[in-house]
Amino acid sequence: MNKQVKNLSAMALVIGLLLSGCGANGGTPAASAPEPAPSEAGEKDSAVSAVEGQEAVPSGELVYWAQEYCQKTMKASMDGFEKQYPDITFKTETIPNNELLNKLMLAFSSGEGIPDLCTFSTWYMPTLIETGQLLDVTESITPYLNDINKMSLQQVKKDDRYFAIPLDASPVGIIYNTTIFEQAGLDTEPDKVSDLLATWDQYIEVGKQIREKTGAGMMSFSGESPDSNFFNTLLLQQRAWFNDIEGKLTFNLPETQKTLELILKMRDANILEDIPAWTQPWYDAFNQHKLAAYIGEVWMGGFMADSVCPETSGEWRVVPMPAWEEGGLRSSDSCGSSWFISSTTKNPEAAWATVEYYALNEESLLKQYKAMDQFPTYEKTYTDKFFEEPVEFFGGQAVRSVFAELEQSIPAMDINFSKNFELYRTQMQLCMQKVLLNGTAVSQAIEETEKEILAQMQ
Amino acid sequence: MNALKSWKARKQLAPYLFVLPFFITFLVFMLYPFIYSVVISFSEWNGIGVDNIRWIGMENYTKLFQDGTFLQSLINGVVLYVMYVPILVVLSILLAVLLSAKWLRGSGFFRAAVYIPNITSTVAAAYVFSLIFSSSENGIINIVLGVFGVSEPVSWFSSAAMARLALCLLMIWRWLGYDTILMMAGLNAVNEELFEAAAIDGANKVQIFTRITLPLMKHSILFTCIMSTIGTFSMFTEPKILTDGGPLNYTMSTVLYLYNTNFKFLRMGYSSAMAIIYFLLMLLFTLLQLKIGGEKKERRVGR
Repeated sequence: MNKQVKNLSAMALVIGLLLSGCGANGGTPAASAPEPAPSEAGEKDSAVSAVEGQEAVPSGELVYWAQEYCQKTMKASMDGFEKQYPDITFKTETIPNNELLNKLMLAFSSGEGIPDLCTFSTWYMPTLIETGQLLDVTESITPYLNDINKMSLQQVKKDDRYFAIPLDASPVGIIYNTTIFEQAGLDTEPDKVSDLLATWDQYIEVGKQIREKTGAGMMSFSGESPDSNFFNTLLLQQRAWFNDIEGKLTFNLPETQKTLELILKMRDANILEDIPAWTQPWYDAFNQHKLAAYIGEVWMGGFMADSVCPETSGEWRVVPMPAWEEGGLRSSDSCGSSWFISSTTKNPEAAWATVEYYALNEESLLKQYKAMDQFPTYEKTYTDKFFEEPVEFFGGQAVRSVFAELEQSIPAMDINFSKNFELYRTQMQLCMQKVLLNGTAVSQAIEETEKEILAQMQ
Repeated sequence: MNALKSWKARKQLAPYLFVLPFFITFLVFMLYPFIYSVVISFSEWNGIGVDNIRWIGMENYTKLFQDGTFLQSLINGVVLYVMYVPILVVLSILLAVLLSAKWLRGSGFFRAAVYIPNITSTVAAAYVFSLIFSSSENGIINIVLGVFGVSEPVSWFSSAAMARLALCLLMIWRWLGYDTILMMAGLNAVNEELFEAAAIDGANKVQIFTRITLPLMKHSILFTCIMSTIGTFSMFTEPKILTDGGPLNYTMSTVLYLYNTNFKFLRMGYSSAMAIIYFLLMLLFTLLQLKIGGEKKERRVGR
């Protein structure tokens, strides 16, 4: 009897240990009871529209989450906003882009500390909309719909209702370094370089030449932490995506195979610098002339001039992306970022006033573009003569009009990034690691990845 | 009379009051969430709003055993355990014996020095390790290797073996002090007379160590092993900062994967099922080790 009691107590001790082990490590999922379900988002939205017609000027403090970049662009057109809405103030929290999703999801599931406003990658808008925590802004955004980039709008829509406001688009081009091109004995004029890099095959050939003559790489791509955004960009350039508009997985396509093969081909031709993006060695590569070119979104110019490599100002130019075959599409767009208002906000009027000012006001958008190369999705801005102005960082090239042309060259495409985007991203990273590090055959890696995504899809 | 009675009752009540805070926190922060997890493990739920719960029975559990990443995380746990726990145990015993040695001057300083990593912020330490093992030619280890003629920088986090090695080194660095303290406690509990008697009977130092010290430290060693099992599978901060589970999930720990499914993909039901399986596995491993450790004499395993 006594023995049994002892055994039992030992068991209880063990269980207690295990439980406390889990608890201390944040292992067991947070099981706090969620807040009562938020009231119907639509109600609040009608409040927004009701207020719009009146003269009351919105006021109050708003909690705003965004990465540093967005805050810099915001600051660029802050004075106009303060004049128009002197009584709206912000409590801004700077959150790096790679932590923003987690933080938002945590806030949504606990119902605590949800920001009133947030700007975040449009990639994740379908995921966020699915949580039901974003304010329905359909009525407010309707007057603007015709002037906003269609593909971006596609990402912020669910069942014909709109839940976020596209802020910037991100046309992709080649940003190349004239100093290195010159060293390699190549033309440096954008017109000629554009022809030189007209297709991906040519891009690889030029890359080999540059590697041989200067030692520099033709772009950065890390096998250790492969950039799935680059993969997505290439997939979208071929007008393909992981799923169709109904959300059915269409991953195992010839385009997927071709994209992975291209990355592999570039690696095998030794034109890639194996450096993880956004790390110190990566910044060094830009500054120390180890990168002849970078396939990048328009906003990369802002990052480069602002923090990555401001000392190399004047050395860079922009040309269209290489096409898959001659005469093919020479751009791609990953839809940049969007604003959203959370449905729990106590001040939807002030929140909408802010979004309207920063995302749908031409003057404000142009100021933001000028400061940080944040390319507007609001198409009315494209005709402004500001686009023709020379840009010092790009040696006086009028890069803004280059990007505007690239953006407008992209044909409409009916896709939705889907609520499974983070799953795609994670699995794609694994898939590329399989191919680049383990030497798995491309077709096999794709099949395995497709299986994995299907198993985990919701 | 009455007053005396109530005083007696209070006196009897006192010990329960003293242990009450533990039981309240245990019930609220451990048992309740645990039971809650069991319940929602039978559902599909994104954690937002109770009306979103969809009951799906055992589906999460059947899915779990076909989930490559989950199985990989279990394998990782076993591999990592085999890689670093034996080293940790041997090193901590040796250090404990060394630090308890009578001839050692300034043992207080050394004890503190050994223990400091354990109270250092894991995030900071993991970050420093990621700089040390940086794959670029400016990584500290790559610079050192360069001095010895390894010209090509080693990319530490692109191969399973290297990434695991880096992770193990971090774990050993972090837990050696803690385990040494445990071992020292075990060592100090051994009756001095035994050593003296053995010495008088002519046993040499190695014999004393293997025949007396080690067997009597069995409980400390067992306790360390059990804690390390749980520690290995529930590793979180270290892989999160150092490798984020990569490359190819080779350093993905079960709890890191659980965290990802729960907070990245908001699959509360699925991750709860994972937590339950994880709990049962840890219970099994612990009982197994108790069994192997030969708990015949009914001695308490505890702090």
